[in-house]
Parts: sequence; C-alpha cells; structure tokens
Amino acid sequence: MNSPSLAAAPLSPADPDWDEAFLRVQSYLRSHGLESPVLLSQITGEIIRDAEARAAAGRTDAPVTLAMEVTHAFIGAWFARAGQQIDWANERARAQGRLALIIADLPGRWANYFLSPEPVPAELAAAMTSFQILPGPELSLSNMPPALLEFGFAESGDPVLAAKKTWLPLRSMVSWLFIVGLFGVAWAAGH
Amino acid sequence: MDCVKFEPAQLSPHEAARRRHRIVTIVLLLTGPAVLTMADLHQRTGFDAWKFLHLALFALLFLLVALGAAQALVGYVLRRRGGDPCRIVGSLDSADDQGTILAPTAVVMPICNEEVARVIEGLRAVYESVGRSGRLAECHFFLLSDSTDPNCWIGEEAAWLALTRRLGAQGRIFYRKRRIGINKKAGNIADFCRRWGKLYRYMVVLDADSVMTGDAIVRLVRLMERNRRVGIIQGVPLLVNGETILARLQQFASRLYSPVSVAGLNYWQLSEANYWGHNAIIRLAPFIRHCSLPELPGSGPFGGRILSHDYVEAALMRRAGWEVWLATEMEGNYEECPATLIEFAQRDRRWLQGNLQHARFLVARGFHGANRAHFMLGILSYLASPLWLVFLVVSTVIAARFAAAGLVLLPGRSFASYVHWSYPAQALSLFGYTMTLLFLPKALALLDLRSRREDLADFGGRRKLLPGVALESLIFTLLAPVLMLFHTWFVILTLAGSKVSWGAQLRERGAAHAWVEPVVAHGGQTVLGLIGAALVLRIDPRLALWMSPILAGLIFSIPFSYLTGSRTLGRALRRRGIFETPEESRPLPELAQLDEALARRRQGLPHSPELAANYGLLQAVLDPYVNAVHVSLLRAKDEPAPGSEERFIALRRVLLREGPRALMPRDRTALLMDADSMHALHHELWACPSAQLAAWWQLALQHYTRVAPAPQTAFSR
Repeated sequence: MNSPSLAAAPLSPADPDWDEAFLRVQSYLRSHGLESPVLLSQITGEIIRDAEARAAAGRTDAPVTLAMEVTHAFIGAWFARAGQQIDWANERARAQGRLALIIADLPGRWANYFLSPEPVPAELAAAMTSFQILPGPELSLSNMPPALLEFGFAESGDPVLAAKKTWLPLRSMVSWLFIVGLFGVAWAAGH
Repeated sequence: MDCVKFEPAQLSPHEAARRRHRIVTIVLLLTGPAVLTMADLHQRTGFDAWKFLHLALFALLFLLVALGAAQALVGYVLRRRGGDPCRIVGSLDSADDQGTILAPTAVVMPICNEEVARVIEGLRAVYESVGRSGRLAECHFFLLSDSTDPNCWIGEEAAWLALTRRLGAQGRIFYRKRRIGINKKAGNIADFCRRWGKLYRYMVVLDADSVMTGDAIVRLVRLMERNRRVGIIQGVPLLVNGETILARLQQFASRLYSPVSVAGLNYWQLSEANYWGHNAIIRLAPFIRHCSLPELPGSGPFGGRILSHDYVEAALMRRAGWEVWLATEMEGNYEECPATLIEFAQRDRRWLQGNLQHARFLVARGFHGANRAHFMLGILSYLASPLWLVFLVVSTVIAARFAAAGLVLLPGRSFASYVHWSYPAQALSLFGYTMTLLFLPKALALLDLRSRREDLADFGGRRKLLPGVALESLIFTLLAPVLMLFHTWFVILTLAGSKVSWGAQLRERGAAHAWVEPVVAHGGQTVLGLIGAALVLRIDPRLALWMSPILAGLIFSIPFSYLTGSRTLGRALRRRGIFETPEESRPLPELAQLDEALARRRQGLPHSPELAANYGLLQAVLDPYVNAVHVSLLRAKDEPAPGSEERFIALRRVLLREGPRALMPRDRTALLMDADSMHALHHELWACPSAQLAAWWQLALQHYTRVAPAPQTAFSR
C-alpha cells in the first residue's frame, strides 16, 4: 500500500479504546456518504493520530470523545476551505452545515470530495452556499371562523331556490300518494 | 359522443326536482309490488304483531334495494342514449381545453401515520404527471402531516427533502407537520387554509393513497374556471393497485359497475352532489369563509368534533349558495382500497361513527334537502345492517312460532287470485323479484359494457369477465352477513359511547396476514353462525336452506377472511385474468411507475426487528443528515419553560444509557420535538464510548460500521 500519511505514522500498540474510536470516526464519516475505503482509512487515520496527540498532551477524555472532537474540527476546516463561514464548535451551526451538504447532494454526487485534500469543486461550494430549505411558502393568514349551526327543523339553505318555491314538491307528493293509493286499491280489491 | 355543451348556470331550477321526482317514483313503483306481495303472504297465514314488524322492516330494506336498482336503471338508459346532457364535464369543449389557465392551485395530501414510501411515490407520480401536462407553474404541492408515529414522521421529513431534490422541486413541494393534530383531517386541511389558503384559488385534495393524473387535475381546474358558481367538484376515483383477492375484487366490481351507478347518481344529484373527502377540487375562498367545522354541542357519539367532515362541508358549501358537482366520466383519478376483510371493517368502523353523527344534521337549519338526503343515505348505509339482522331474527321467530304451534299451513287465497299463486310459488316469486333487483345493477352494467367492445377487451374479454362476475357475486354474497354483524356490533359500540380510534389504515402490501387475526376478528361470528344454523335447522330445515348463504358466510368467515386477504391467491387469479380491470391490462404510466418505484423501495427496506420499532428516532438522533433536516423543520423555542431543560437533560440521559424502550412514547415524542435535545443527542451519542451506551444504541451504531465480524472457524475463541 502506498499511503504516505499512513507510512509516516508511528504505529501504536493495539488498544481497544482507540480501536473503538477509529471505528466510530469511520462510521461517522460513512454516515455522511463517504464510502471510498482509501479515503476513509486515510482521513480516519489522520483524525486518530491527532486525537492521540491530544491525549498525549494530557486530555483525559475517552478516545471516542476526543476522536469525535477532532472529527468535527476536521469537518469544520473543510467547510472553511469550501468558503463556508460556519462555527463548527456549535452543534446548531453544524446541523446547518450538514443540511447544506445534503441539499447540495454531497452523498450522491460529491462523496469522494468530502474531507478530501483536493480543492472543493466550485459547483459543490456554490450549492452549499446557496442552499435553503423551504417547508412552506410565506404565510398568508386567513380567518376561518367556525360555521354557525343551528339544530331544529328548517328551510332550504339555498337562497336562490328558496325564493323560487314551486308547486313541484306538492305535485310530487300527490303523485307518490297516488301510486301508494293504487297499491292500496289493489290490496283492498283482493281481500 | 357529439354532445351539446352543458351550461350549469342555465340549468332550470326545476330540473333537479323533476329528476328526483322520477327517481322516487321509480323506487315506489319497484317497491310497491314487493311490499304488497309480502303483506299478502302474511295475510294468507294471518297477521300478528311479529308479521307487522317483519313487513315494516322488509319495506324499509326493500326501499334501499330499489333505490340502487332505480339509479342503475336510469344510469343505464342515460348511457345508452349517449350520456346525461347535464354532466359538469360536459361544460367544457375543445376550445376550453386549449385556453390558458392562470389559477394558482394547491394540491394537498393530508397524511397521518401512513406508509411513507407509498405517500412519497404517490405524490411523485402526481407531480411528474402535472409536469408532463405543462402546468407545474400554477401548482404547489403540500404534504400536510399529522403523523404521531416517529417512524412515519421522521421518514416523511427525509423522504420529502429527498423528493424535492430528486425532482428539483424546492419551493414547489412543501411539507408541514402539525405539533398537535387538532380536529383530525378536517383540522389539518383547515390549518392549511388558515396559513396559505389565501395564496391559491383552488385546492385539490388527495388522500394518502390517491393518484391523479396531471390531465385530470388540469381538467378539474378548467371546470372550476368555466363554472364560477361551483364550489366543489368531486371526482370519481377508480380503485387500483390491489393485490389480495378482496382488493382486486373491489376494484373489479367498482370498475365494472360504477359507471352505470354513478351516472344514475349524478342524474338526481346535479348541483347538490356530495364531497367524499378526497380526489376533489375545492374553491378556496368560499371554503375558508363557510366551511370551517364547529364542534357539535354535547358529548358522546353524537356530540363533540365532527368525525366525517366531507358531507358536512359539502352541505355548508351548498348552504352558502355554491354548487357541488360529481365529475362523472373523467379519467385519471385513482385510489386504493383495503386489502383484507379486517381492514375493510376497520375503515367501516371509522366511517360508521361519522355517518351516525350526521343524524344531527338531518334537522340542521338551512341545509338543502339534497344534503339531508345524503346524510340520511349515509346513515342508512350502515343502519341497514342491524335492520337486516333484526329482519332475519324476526323471520326466524315467525317460523319458530309457527313450528311451535304444530299447525299445518293452510294459506288463504292470494289477493292476485287470477294468477293462481300457491303460497310457495308466491314466496319464491317474491324472492326472485328481490334477487332480480339486487342483481339488476350488475346486469345493467354488463349490458352497458357489451356495447363497448374495447372496454370489454380491457376486462379480459367475455371469457374472463363472466367467471369474474360469478366469483365476485359469490364472494360478496358470503361477505354480506359478515359485514352485517360487524356493522351491527359497531353501531352498538358507537351508541354505547365507545370511541373510535382514528389510526392509519394498514394498507401496505406485504403485511403479514396471519391466521390469528381472522380467528380473533371472526371467532364470534363463526360461533353465532353455528348457533343460528342449529337453531333454524331445529325450527324448520327449509328455513335453514333459505338462510344457508347467510349462515355459510358466518360459519366460514375465518377461512374466508384469510383467503380473501391472501396476496398469493390474488396474484394467482390475476395471472389467470380473473378480476382483470382496464387499469391492470393497460396501466397508465403514472400507475406503472408508482408500482415499479414502490417495488424498488420495499425491496430496500432494511433494519433488524429490534431497531424497527424506533427506527425513526434512531435516524433522527444518529444520522447526520436526517438529524439536520429534522431540527431545521422544528419550530425554534421562544423561551424554555422553567424546569424543562432539566427534564430534557434527564430524558436524554435515559435514552442514551437505557435505550428508547426505557422512555414513555410521549417522552420520546417530546425529545423529538425539542430542537436543542436533538442537537445534543446527535452530538452526545456519537461522542460517547460504547460502554456507556444502551445495547440498543450499540446495535444501531453497527449499521454504519464497515468492519464485518471476524469469521468463525475451528480456531475461533
């Protein structure tokens, strides 16, 4: 394998806590869409070495915690290179940054540029800068008062039809009574 | 068809009255002979109180049968004559179809704990279809979520964003989730109207399982533009995408029989049609002004919030002077149906309570008579079941009383002495007449289809159509007594004040349909069927023969429910072309694409069963993108309530250390609704050593881990 950064790295004796930190960082990067094994190993290795250095400098946090701290700093630096002014120490700002990544379709189109030492493509940087999430149009409020309902027997609601009351219902009633009457006569005649 | 353009505004105010008069006259003419014959049968053996009750129930139930037959008869005649001249779709001509429309329209899809993939792919199909019809510029699309299940809620958010990205539809497809789902679906729509209703002239309401083509939507908008007095146009959705026997049976029956029945329905409804809650277009300004639903006075099953909002909204619209039309013979309008008998009954349970509540509106002031008729027919559609049951019980009592008396039947003369009717012949004639009317709509629909060769071919041709009709009739005959008992039970529960739970319907395909569910749901019906069979056999074996279809339906309800809910059997019948519909033989691109997309999505469904119950929460906490989308959609907190921060810190600790099951569902929801907690949880989870995390979270993290477990060999320790 011809990986300069790994070749230059001093080898640490195996430590389960650092193994866990390595896996955690790698998982976190994968959760962003980074899938290239070479890039993943390279970036994760750099992050772990940085975290180990912090531990060696006296930090007493767990390796996972330290490694994730470095990971965030690493991502923040990449954002800065992409021209994004985001305070990566702030989780709320980080969420905004991640939103920019997904709206710019980083996992789909640009996964191998994420955290890569290569320059950030201009199209990706532009997409991240101009991102916005629009869950709804601008509010335009209306008053919607509950309809008035009254219960009790009633007239037709249609003012047009109500004004044109006709003889039709009466004629209908008479003809229907006539039909019922015919059946009555048929009954009476047979009994 | 070369028809004259219809002008609803010039429709005579007497036309509707004339048409309704004719329908009622036909109903009376059909019902009269049956009632007369039944009365005579009782007269020949001597009337008593039981027989009076029996006759009254028979008359009421027969009226409903006659109404269905009358509608079908009128519909058939109209279609044979080239269609009803008074159809709202007839108000457009080819010049209208070419004209420009500039009517801002919102296509809204209210959802509540529905299958996310189906919702999103359905909306995508509609969106792309509107795009193909070139009308995207005038349309906005809204997913209006009331989902309370975090799995659905979180899934909807992520899927919405993914959809807008995929379609380049940012600023065109919107997502709104209510924090509290006040007043269910009606409240959901009302909330949309209050926030954004002013921005649009029309609102096309879809259900979670609706699909409408762009052409259908554009046509509805044109119809509204053309007819400025129309407030609502209800489309007639066709049932599609069924896989089980029951679902395919429903879509086959509705596709085959509905054109004739719907033509008959439109004949008497005209501008006082009904609104069915979805697949309809609504004029927003009058809807906002007149159709907000108040709470009904009192409590219990008839008070409180209005459960079935659609009928009431149509009545309110009509009360305000706006017309409501049914768009018959308009293509491109689809929905799905329940896959199993139990899902069918669950849906009926919800509708039943809503319809019974409409009893209050029968005497509400200002409503149009036609709307009162809609309310009454809606109530009777469910009350018919208990009435039928009482009718059967009374029939059995009459037979039992006769058997107990030990008398020999010596009937008197029939009133129609000139036809020399023996008593059995008279009874059989009445039975035959009843069956004729019951099956008349089917027969007329088949006759109607015979004249349309192309449509006949789309049903698989005569050779496949007729066995389908026979099998459908057999299954529905066996289904009827099962639904009768379900509805009766639901009516009792509703009147006793038992609340209906308005959960989402379980419509997704692939859901396991185990034996246990039918056994639990139909066990009581089977026992009742067996008791009934023993009873009537003891009273009179001939009575048992008469009642055998009903008793068989009940006794075999468990295997019947299981088999009709089987996808394997449904697909097997489909391969043989049984229950084939034009939508299956020549699927529209929208439906074909939806089917393919859903198959792809469902294949990709992952996750271990342990994680599945809280997969939404898992994603919202763990996944960096889902978390970011979720918190961006949460409302910013103004000022945290005193003590709330401490509560959230404690909840977060429990969630991470002990897993989601250690929290109550309401606490999990509270965390999901708190943006600060979601930020903190994402950060803390990833930065926390595994030893301090619940085993559930450790398993969840493995989803993202690249390293596979070490291979197991003889040397493994």
